[in-house]
Amino acid sequence: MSDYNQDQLTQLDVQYDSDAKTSLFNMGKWARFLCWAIFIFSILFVFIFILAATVYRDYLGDVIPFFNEMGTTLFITIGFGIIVALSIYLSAFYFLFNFSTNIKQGLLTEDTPTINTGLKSLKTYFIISTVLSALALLINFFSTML
Amino acid sequence: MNEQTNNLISLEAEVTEDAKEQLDAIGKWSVYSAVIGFTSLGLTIISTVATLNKVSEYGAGMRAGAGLFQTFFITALSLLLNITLYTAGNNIKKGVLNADQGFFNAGLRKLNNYFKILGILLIIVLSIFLLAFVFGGMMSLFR
Repeated sequence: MSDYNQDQLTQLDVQYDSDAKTSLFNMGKWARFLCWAIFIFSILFVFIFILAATVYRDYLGDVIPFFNEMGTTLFITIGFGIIVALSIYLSAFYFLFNFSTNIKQGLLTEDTPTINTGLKSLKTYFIISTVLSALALLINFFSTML
Repeated sequence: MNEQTNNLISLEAEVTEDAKEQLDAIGKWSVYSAVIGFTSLGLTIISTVATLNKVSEYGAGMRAGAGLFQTFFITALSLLLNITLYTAGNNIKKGVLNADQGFFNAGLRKLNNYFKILGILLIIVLSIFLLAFVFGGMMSLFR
């Protein structure tokens, strides 16, 4: 194939034109905002859970003797479960944050490998969030059936 | 910010083969995600209708109405998000596979809209939480 034909093919291919770049750049900005909000929200959630668990353990311990003996173990188990679930959920947002950082940097410095790393992170974000949504759907389906 | 946008517009970059593979996968997975979202929505509607039927049998018509309004609101938002994601994924895939710049740009625009809607919803939810927190604090102060 001649160089001329090869050039024609390259020109026919998709490019990061100004429209595509603006969309990707804005996507990066919104993704970063979402990640920060989710991270802060998760920390607040864990903090509120610890506070509520401490208050309820003391309160329930006065009413039900079981909570005096097993209350701490029960809340630690629930807390551990919440932290594991949050970590899996937050791993998706870690990749979204990576996407946001790399895509902005890549577009501003015209660095193709950085843009590609960003896109790879976005792909991983979608894979993790889709698998988690599928799991949630299955759990919801079986709980509805029961 | 304007300077950053001008920098973006002045540059022209090729979409490499590696990037195309990633974009194709992003398109595919966003379509899967949207389909799961639609299924989940269908299941939510069925279970809500079943629950509301049971509730209205016990004569709680007003509560059932409020529940229906809430479900309608959540359904509309979820539908909007999933349709946007589905269109984005499909357009990105079409754009990359057929080398169609129009579809590619439309897909990226839709994906940007998807994140924008998520962000705006998050702002609304955070504002409601903040208001509830402030009002809760004020109520406890004046009690």
